[in-house]
Amino acid sequence: MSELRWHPFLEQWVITATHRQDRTMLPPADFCPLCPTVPGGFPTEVPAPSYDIVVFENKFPSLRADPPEPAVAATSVSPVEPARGICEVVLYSPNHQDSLAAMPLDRIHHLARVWKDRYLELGARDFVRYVFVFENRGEAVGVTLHHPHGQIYAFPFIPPVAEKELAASRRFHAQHGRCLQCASLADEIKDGRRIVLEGERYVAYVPFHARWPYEVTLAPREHQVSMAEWSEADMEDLSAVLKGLLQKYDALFAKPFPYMMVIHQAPTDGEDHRYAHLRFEFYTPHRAANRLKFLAGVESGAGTFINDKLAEESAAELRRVGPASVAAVRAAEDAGGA
Amino acid sequence: MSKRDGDIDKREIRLPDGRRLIFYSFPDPPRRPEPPPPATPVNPSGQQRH
Repeated sequence: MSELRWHPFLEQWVITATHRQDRTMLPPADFCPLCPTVPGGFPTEVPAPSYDIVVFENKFPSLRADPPEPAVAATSVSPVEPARGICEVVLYSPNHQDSLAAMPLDRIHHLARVWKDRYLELGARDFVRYVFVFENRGEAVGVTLHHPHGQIYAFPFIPPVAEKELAASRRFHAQHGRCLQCASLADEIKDGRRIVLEGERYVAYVPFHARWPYEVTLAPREHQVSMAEWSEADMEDLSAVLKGLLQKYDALFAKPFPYMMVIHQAPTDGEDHRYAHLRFEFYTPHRAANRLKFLAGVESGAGTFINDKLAEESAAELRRVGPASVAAVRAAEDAGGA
Repeated sequence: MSKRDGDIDKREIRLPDGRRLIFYSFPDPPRRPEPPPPATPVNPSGQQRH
């Protein structure tokens, strides 16, 4: 059962999705439903012996294009709507042990092309107002399948975090005549202490206002409202900065680093969102090698984050580990390393 | 169904339960932008070497 229930105090939708209780949970590697279906093997989600990149509609979707009518009646306090939308799974690689940090740059570039294609195709649907691309990596952030993959939610509404950021960006643009993210990035580059990795077109940094211990924003230097504006050169540079950042994350505690990677960009509701600015955000629960940050009472109940780390210190730690530069990422690959 | 958008190959099928699945393939690796060519060496007399 799935429906949208209105939260009248926070003025936002909650998705109920009780069927997701039955989804596959941490199967052994040889029974991974996201691996290719090999001859004589059990049938996985992908009916092919190999693949490059695959996208498919989630078997346990929170939103669907033809949703059932809500099972409960709406009231004036509690509106209810069908959970309309699309939930897709993006398989990055046929290799179960792969990860974005270990993939060749070409494959990450291909993935960026797929993201762009999905943004354009899903965003063109009349009921889709926001295309949300994300990846949850690691059991610490609730991953149930370890095969390298991400997800896309095509929302029938602009989700509240994006909506709040867009409203702030719109106000800043009206007051100052420039983009908020462009201004924020200019400040970060001028200060320099929180920069982690710089490409020709993309920059990764721990934002001044970081809420998570090793939170990173990865954003284009030029003003881009969405993936629709990506050139091949943009995606190539993004691939190298993204890979370098994730290698730094994995090097930080010498083990795979859990994260939530989310991509914020312009809605697809047909309105003018020139003030929006595409960016990746990485929310990272580890505050030390064996200590996790939880969204506890203050974060969940008051909506105020307490960060145990200073952004300047986190950035310095990330700079010290992994590839020293984007050139080093490319050189390692050209030399045959990861 | 198969279609080609730019240099992305997409092949869409329906799974037995009706869900869409799209195979993306990339026959030609994307090209890294070529670095600018090095400046042509010029000898002290100002003439290019060949």
